[in-house]
Amino acid sequence: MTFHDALFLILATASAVSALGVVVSSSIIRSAIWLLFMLMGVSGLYFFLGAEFLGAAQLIVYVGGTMVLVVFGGMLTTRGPFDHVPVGLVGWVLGGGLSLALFALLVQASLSFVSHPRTDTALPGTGPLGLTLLGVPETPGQTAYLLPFEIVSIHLLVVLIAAAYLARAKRRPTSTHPEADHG
Amino acid sequence: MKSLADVQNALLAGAVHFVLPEVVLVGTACLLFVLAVVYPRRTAAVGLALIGLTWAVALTYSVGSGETTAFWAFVEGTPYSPHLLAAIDPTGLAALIRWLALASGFIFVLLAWPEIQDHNAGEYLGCLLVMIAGSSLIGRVNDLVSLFLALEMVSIPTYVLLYLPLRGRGEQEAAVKYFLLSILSSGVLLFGFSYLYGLTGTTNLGALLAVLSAAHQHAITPMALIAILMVIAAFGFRISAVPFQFYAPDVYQGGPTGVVAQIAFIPKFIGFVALVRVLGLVIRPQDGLPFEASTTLIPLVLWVMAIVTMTFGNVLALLQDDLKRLLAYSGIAHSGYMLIGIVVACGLPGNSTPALSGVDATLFYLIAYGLMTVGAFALILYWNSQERPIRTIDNLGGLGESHPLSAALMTVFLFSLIGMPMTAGFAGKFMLFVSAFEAPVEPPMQNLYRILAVVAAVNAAIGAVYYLRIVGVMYLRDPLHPVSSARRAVLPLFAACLCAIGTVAFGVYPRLIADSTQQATPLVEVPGNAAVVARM
Amino acid sequence: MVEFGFPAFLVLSAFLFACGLTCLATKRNAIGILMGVELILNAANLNFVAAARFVPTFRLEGQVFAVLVIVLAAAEAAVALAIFLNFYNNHATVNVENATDLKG
Repeated sequence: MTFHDALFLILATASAVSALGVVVSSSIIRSAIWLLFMLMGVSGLYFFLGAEFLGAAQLIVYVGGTMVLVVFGGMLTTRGPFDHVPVGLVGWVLGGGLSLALFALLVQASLSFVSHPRTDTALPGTGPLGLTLLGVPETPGQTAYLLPFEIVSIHLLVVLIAAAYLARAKRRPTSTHPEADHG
Repeated sequence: MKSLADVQNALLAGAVHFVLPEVVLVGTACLLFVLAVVYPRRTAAVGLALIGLTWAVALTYSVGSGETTAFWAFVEGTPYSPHLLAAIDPTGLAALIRWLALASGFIFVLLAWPEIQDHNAGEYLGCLLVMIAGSSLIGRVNDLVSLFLALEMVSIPTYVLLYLPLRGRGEQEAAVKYFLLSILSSGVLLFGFSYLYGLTGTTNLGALLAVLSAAHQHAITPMALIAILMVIAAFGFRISAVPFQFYAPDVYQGGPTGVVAQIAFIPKFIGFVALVRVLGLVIRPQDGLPFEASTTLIPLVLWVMAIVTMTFGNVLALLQDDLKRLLAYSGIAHSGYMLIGIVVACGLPGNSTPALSGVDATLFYLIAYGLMTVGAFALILYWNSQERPIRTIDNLGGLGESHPLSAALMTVFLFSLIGMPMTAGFAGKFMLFVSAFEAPVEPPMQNLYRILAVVAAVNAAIGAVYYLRIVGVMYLRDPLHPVSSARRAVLPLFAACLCAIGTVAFGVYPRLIADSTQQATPLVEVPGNAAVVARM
Repeated sequence: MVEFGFPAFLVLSAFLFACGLTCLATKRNAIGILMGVELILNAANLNFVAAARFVPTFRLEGQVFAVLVIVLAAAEAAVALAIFLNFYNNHATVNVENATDLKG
């Protein structure tokens, strides 16, 4: 076993175990911590695959940003109406069974995939990635991704406005109900 | 001769011209967001939104068919196919989808009027315009990345819109439910896309489909099968097909009516458009359909989905008393009818040229469904007032006397939903049934298609029961509450009038739309392009 | 020794996907369901990046897709937090009323 393979095994096992931890923890905060480790494991796999920028983005944006939001959400609402609802045996058997069956199916399909030989040329670095997002394809025949880049910035704008609006409206509780529905 | 790089650069530089109306819409949305801060007035926001939409319409009109000509001009004299190279593809469905999106935008701005106030008008209409721009993009983006993001461009504003107007408990539950299921469907869709990318190594939709159909001439690989089933499941959520429909009744019942009208039309509309595009039904690759190969598995899956969806929707609609819940189940049933066209198109042999390709019938029905359902919601919005809320069917009692005009409009919509002759609903159902009955396929499948048409006809008869019940209540029952003299917003009534005119016009003279839906879905084939496909 | 190639990554991502689905099926908490969706998104992203590494054609597309999905996941989490907190506030109004009065 080469160093490469050992590294992959370690990272993959870490991610898989953490993912399982997310599922089996009954407390939301614990699940969130497991998810954190899962995200780190996946980020390690990105580095392993030679996608340094993605690995870094995963660490900075996902682990550092998104997860903080999720953990906040968890902490602010854990006393809420649906805290610590134990999952019945039926739920586990049904959900787990279905997922297991799907997993078996996916594994079968994955193993039947005709594997490409590993090419050892590294993935392009951050420079080409940035250029293609700005609509400058590196080589002929390559697609440029200016449009998706612009669309995603519109998403962020809408989300920003929405979050600001929802947060602002919270401070004016009941006065803004025109036809409040309490039925 | 131009080189591949030249063609690509030209396509890239020209791409901006293919999305100008969408850019205008998003720009107007940005202005609305700013306006909401500096001058929060409902009238100003609605006026600005209408100006933006009109500008977009003017741009679309001035472009006309010029974009298609420009698109082909880029590759003139070269052996390359632009469908396999361009990021944006203005041929085929694209123009029709843009017109539809813009038209629905006008109607939804009119419907928004009674539900928005000065303090949320800018945000509401801004989100609405972003949604319209996104749904217009779905008809023309030619890249998996853009397609996924354009779908999200519709979903994310929807979450916000569900939350903006009213803040009762029911709405919030509806919003949370819709949000969770919607991000789940996006996740499943993304997973399916990741398999498609893994199989082909390209995200260009045209190239991806060409590679897949070349690879699937004899048998479909298990991975591609799983991928496309995941994609169908994810779009099944958006078109609320069984078994992904369970959110619909709660969301329709709990959500604010104007937004529910949007949810009843836009996700279905984009779901069907994206589905036919990913299945390769619009621009057919030369080697046959990418996911059909020699098997009939995908048409069979869709066949079962269509039958179960329409039957489930119709039977459960019979049991409803809540008006919006009833319309939710009716929407599910109509998704089942629309799936018929997709089933037919999926099973068409490569060299056949039937009068109806299936996709055109689905598109026609989609337009008819949009007109009649949105019209019905517009009237609910118009009748609803604080003293006299419209929730159950019984609330409609006596409207035939107190509001003769709007009750007559409602009758038009309900007759169209039933599929009475002289309405768009009839023309659409007729096209769908004929496309299933006349599909040029081999005997085992042919019988299945005929069964499908028969089941659909039986379902249409079941549907008549609950729609006629509403008509009966409006005209024969006494009102539950005294008629209120409160001033009503006229704009929803105006929107309903527009929808009714469309319903009747397209019913009496279906060619008005049928011609453009047929032109939008030609049975032409794209040659596999050696230069691009050879990358594999 | 067998090399771990593309199929190994596919199996791992399939496992993450199955975990995500189980989360959705068993968790009753909205945040828990959101975490399940994050698992699914990461599974898809892993597929994209691994495919970009092993499919010997284009190198950038998978990475671009993954970057944009990370951004999108962040956006969705922000909306999710806004919606869930509002939901929580509204649905616990009976109990939280005193607290808001005290804060003024």
